[in-house]
Amino acid sequence: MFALNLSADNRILSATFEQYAAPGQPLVEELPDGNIVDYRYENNEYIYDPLPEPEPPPYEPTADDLIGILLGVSE
Amino acid sequence: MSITIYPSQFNMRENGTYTQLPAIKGETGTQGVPGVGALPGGTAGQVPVKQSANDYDVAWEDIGWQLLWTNADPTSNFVEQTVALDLTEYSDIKVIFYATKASAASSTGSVLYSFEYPKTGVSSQYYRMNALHNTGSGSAAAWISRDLQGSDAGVFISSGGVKNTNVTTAMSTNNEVLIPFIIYAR
Repeated sequence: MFALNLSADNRILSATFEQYAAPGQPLVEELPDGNIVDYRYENNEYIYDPLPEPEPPPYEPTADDLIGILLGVSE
Repeated sequence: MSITIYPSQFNMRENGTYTQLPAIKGETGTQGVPGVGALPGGTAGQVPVKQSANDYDVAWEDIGWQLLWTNADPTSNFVEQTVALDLTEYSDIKVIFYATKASAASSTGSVLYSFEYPKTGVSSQYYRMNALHNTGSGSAAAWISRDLQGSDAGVFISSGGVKNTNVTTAMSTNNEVLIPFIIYAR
């Protein structure tokens, strides 16, 4: 058995084992496949609702990149 | 009842003369109330701890780090959350992290980081877990990070962050790094 830590909108934040469950946490027999944070748990069912991918970090040239640019060297 | 008469050192004065009085040995007294011994109760591994300066004010308590939580799915992303725990009886927290969720899934060995901090630190401030992680041969090392804070209600763990060591940009959110695996408290 697993205990689910849910957000206010019932998204699964994390799961622990039954013996570590906090009061009020729902107990389930199995966890969903893949990333559990991609699911919400409502009415005793898992609903697949993946989070949007985070924005990729802006490109910033490294010291090696700058040296390559200055020397006109490309990999 | 048997009475044994011993010569006494005390005399009674009668008509100007002293008469030696006999002394009488009494019977053996009853058994007294047992004294205070080891405290009943407790469980294996607990030790008695004084609860105040008063004598015999002692209770059985756990000592050392107590396992309070284990991540049942460390190969999933770990988003920002408060792991709900009753920490009212504890003052220090220790969190063990997998470096990445891929590390948690590795069958050839995992990289772990440990971070220990007081439950109540400076008000409304966080403890930052920073690690310099090398993802493998040929890869540049990167900073990976989580912020942590404790309270009586549980352990707050922020989103994960990543940045390369040779760039000056801020951390990028990445919930695949520093996956909390075990939480202890004492």
